[in-house]
Amino acid sequence: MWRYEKRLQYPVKISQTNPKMAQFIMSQYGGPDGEAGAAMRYLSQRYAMPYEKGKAVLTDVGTEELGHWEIIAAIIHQLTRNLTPKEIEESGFGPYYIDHTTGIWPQSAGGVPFNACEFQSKGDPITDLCENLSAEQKARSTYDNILRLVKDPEVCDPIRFLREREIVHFQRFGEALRDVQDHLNCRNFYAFNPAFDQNRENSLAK
Amino acid sequence: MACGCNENTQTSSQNNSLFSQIPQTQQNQQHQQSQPQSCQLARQVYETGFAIDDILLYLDTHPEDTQAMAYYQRLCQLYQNAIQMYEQAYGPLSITQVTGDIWNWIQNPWPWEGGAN
Repeated sequence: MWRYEKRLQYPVKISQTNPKMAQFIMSQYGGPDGEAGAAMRYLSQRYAMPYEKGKAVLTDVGTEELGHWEIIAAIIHQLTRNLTPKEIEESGFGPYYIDHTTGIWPQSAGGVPFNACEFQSKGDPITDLCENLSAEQKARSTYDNILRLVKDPEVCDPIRFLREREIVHFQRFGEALRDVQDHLNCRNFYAFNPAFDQNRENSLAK
Repeated sequence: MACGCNENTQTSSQNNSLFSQIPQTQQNQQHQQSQPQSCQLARQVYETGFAIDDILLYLDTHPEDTQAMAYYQRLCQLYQNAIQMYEQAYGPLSITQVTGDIWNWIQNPWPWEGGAN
C-alpha cells in the first residue's frame, strides 16, 4: 500500500514564474514519456512478474516515479503562480489556462491527455522489462530536450536530478532483465512466458 | 542524540568503497554544538532519505550484498535522527508521527509550495 511522506524527494524552490516553460515541462507530468506513465507502467506490470527481484524493482521504481510526478507538479505549480492575463496570452500557456486555469492536469506539452495508451503492461516479464528500458531512455531524452530550452538554474536543478534518476532506473531494469533470463533456459529465453505458461502444456515449444 | 563520529571514522578508514561515505551534512551536524539551522534540518532529511531511496533499488537487485546492507542500516539510523529533529521543528512528515493535541498534519506549507523547506 502507499503512505505519504509530506516532503518532496528533492526540493523545488522557484522564485521566477515562466508559463512558457511550464507548458514544456508539462510533458513530464502527463506526456507519453512522463512520470505518470512511468508510475502506472511499473506498478501495473508488477503483478505479472513471477520473480522476487523483478517485483521489488517494479514496485520500488514505480513508487519513486509517483514521487517524481509530484516534483514535476511542484515545478509547474511554482512556474505558474500569480500570472497576469498578458503573461498567459503571450507565453502560449493560453489554451491550457482556458481549460484548467493554473490547476494541474496531466497532458503532454502538445495537449494530448494522459491515457493508458502511453504505456504497456504486456504480461510477459521480458517484454515488460524491455518496455521499461526504453521508457527510461525516452524520459531521459525528454529531460535532455527540456534542459536545452530551460535556463533558470532553480528549474534546471530538480530537472537534472530527475534526469539522473532515469539513468539509474535504466540500470536497475537491466539487472532485473538479467535476473529473469537467469531463471529461463539460456538456449531459448522465449520458450514460454513464465508469467502465463505455468504448466508446459501451454508453452510454445513442446 | 548519540554522536556517531567514531563509527564514521572507523568505517571510512576501514573501507574506501562508496558504501562507507555518509552524507556530508550529517557528519558536520554531529560536530556542531549549537542548534542546527532550519535549512540544515531539511537538508539532512533530503540527503539521508534520498540515499535510502537509492540504495534500496540497488539492494532490490543485489539482496545479498552485505556491504550495501551495512550502508543501508547506517543510513536508516541517520534518517531516523534527521526526521526526528525535523519533525520537532516543523511538524509531522507522516501520519503516524502526529503529536500534540491538534491534527497539525493539515498545516501549511505543503511540499509543492516551495516554502521554507
